[in-house]
Amino acid sequence: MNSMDDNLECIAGVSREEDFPILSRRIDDNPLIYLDSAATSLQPRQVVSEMSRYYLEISANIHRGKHYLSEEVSTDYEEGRYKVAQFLGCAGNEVVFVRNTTEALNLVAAGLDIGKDDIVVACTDSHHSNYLPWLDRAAVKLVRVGAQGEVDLEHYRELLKLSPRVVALTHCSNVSGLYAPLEEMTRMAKEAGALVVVDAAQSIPHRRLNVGRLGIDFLAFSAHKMLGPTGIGVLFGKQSHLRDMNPVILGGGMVDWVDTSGYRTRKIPHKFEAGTPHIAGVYGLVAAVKYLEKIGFDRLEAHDLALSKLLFSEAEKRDYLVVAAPGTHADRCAILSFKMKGTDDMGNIARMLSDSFGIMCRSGHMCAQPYVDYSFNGDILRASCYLYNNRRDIVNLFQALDQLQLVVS
Amino acid sequence: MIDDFGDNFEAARKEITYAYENVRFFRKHMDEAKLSPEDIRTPGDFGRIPPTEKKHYRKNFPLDVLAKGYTLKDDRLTRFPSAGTTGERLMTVELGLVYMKRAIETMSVYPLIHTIFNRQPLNQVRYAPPNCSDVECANPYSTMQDRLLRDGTLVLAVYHDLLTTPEVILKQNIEEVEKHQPQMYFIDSTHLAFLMRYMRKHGYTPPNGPLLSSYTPCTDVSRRQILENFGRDVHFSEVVAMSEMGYMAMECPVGGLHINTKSYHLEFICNGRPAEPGEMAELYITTLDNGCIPHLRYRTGDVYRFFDSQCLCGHNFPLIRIEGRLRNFLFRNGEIVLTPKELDGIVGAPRWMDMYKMKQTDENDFLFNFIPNEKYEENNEKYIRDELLLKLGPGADLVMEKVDYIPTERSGKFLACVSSEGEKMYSKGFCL
Repeated sequence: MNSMDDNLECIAGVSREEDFPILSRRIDDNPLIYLDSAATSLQPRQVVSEMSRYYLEISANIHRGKHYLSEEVSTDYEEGRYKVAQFLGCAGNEVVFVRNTTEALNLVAAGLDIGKDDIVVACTDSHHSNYLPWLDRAAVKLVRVGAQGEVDLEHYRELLKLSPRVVALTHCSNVSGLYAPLEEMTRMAKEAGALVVVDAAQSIPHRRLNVGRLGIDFLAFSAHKMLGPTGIGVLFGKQSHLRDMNPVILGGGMVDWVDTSGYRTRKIPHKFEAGTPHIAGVYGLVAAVKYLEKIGFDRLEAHDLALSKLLFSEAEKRDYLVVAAPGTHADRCAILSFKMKGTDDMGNIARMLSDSFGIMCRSGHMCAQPYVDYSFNGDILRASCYLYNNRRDIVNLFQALDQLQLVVS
Repeated sequence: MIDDFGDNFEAARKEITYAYENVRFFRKHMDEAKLSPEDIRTPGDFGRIPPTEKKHYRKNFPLDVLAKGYTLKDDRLTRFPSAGTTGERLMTVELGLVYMKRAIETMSVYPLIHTIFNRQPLNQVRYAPPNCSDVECANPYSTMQDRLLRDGTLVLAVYHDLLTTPEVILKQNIEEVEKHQPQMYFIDSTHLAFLMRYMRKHGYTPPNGPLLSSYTPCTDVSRRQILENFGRDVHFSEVVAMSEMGYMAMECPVGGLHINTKSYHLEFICNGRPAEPGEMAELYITTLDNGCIPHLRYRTGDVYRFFDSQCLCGHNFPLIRIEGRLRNFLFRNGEIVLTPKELDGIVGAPRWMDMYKMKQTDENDFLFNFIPNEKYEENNEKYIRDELLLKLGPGADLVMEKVDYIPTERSGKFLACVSSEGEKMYSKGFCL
């Protein structure tokens, strides 16, 4: 166990070596430093162990039989749904298991019966997954961002006067790490009569959200950004909306009755879960939620904030860096996106950070190309932290950048 | 132990002989213990028979637990499935008449209910966890006719995960109750309290009739809500039943819980010995009916205290108090710190609370969720926290959370107290 007195060691309750054995790996003698958690977090042993338990000891399919294992796995799977519901502050039948955030948001966009005459207000810093499904079907209006990357609430207020059907919010930008004022924006959207759809992929690993109290209509996130496995995600939807929506995928497991003239779908949420789902993924997701709850979201948030401050204060000291939404006082998580002056090839920088220093960062457009192109006019590099990161990881990143800038500028 | 053993010891001996001669599992069970029915001569010998457990009846069903001469096609037999959770499911078949006799005998502790129950025809309503797996068969499309049983029982529709039951079904529940005009209700108290909240909100008072509360232990919070809606003079009785036995105990008109010692041979076992009055003990049951599936020294996993005092109602069935299922007890350092019944005593029946659930998630970690209602004021729950911390002991991490939703168990039942440590202790073979 590590202490967390200054909030910048590995968070209390987490053993880097025992829980995250991957952090003991070395890349050509350099200890591995993982700063790509906004793409995919590491999975602790507890999560992998639960998934292994499913494959090695249970293995059966859900809701498809009466044998012992079938009942055991069905119970675990549905109790997993209840666990997620309690985590979100909603009811069990408001949780739909999907592959990821992208699938969840597509399911909502496709299920809402919207057309090109409908206005959808989205965020400029949206991930493609909360932009393209709307762009494809509706008239999308983007809320401008201010000079520091923050949401322009005045512009947002103006757009709400257009009576949008949907407001598609990005709770935390995967580029700038800035949090949108979710409570305020939700309230404003509800006053305008819009449905509120929230992409919480980047926020839910760090902050506890209560969808019931916030009054959100839909919320989506992926397990793999919160210590869980890939291939499993969650869509929360209010019961009344889910009941009215038609499923996009049809097949086994989502019907009560089928004959030659038609079919009757199962009740929510099962009508949205056709085919055999990622059962092991649900075991992993539940283990991840338990792991995070055990640490406590107060601690997670404090640790994230401390890392964020360190990232941005170190970035501020370096004039060779151009940073997305600079400033250490903003409400943000520990995500730093930047360019280095003198070079456009941030992919090359990412490769050198990895191979020469053992530091894993993301490069590219971060699946938010309109925003990244608007802010940087090209590729960027992103360092993102999570509960297993500490001060040393960040110091090493900046020391490596200091060395690289001498040869690339 | 209960001192009317003499009354049914001979019946118990006959059951042993019957089981030994007619049920392959028991012959093997007794042979392995190097016992024959002739060895059981005195009540003291009875304890030499190794206890039987749920797994024995599950593993040996049907071939080795059905008595000779019975098949599953026998029209006289009724199926009593137990949904169970975590692999504890069980199918029991028994002569319908045997269960009926046990029920009538048990109901003798509440003469008015006993009388009404024997009336025919009798319009009854059942509102309880649905006996299905939810996903495959429960749906909101069934009609009243679909759910009307031959004996006049109307089964009201409800979702497996109780609090997710949609308004359309709750409205349907009211319409059907009004149409059916029940004279008696068989209910799960958590379920009915939930329906009561909806009914009260819509200004509906259901027809008066005795209420038999079973399926899961009745919390004081649920009882309060039910009585508030039906009125304090309604006949409300908690019934203790198991799907593999039927009715076992019932609350009398003055509130005493009496266990039926006429239909069963009962043992209250503590540390492997017969318990003293007032002592916490696990109930072992032996059936006496020479029926389809005899049960010998069956470990119920349920913990009781029995008392040797006489109840004011005058009935001679012994008074008991049910502490709960051993696997739901809260444990610390291998010791019981709180039973579900003791927990319920601490919580009481506050007017500001609709539901609660305590969950022990680890040795020191306890989560108490509760659903407040409009009467709730900040910090109302303080007395519960203070008392719980006292009982749980130093180092206990108790989180109390106000929530809008608490899921049921996957079995469809709502348990107000569950425990990972209790599960561990139970599966390790912890016995009282």
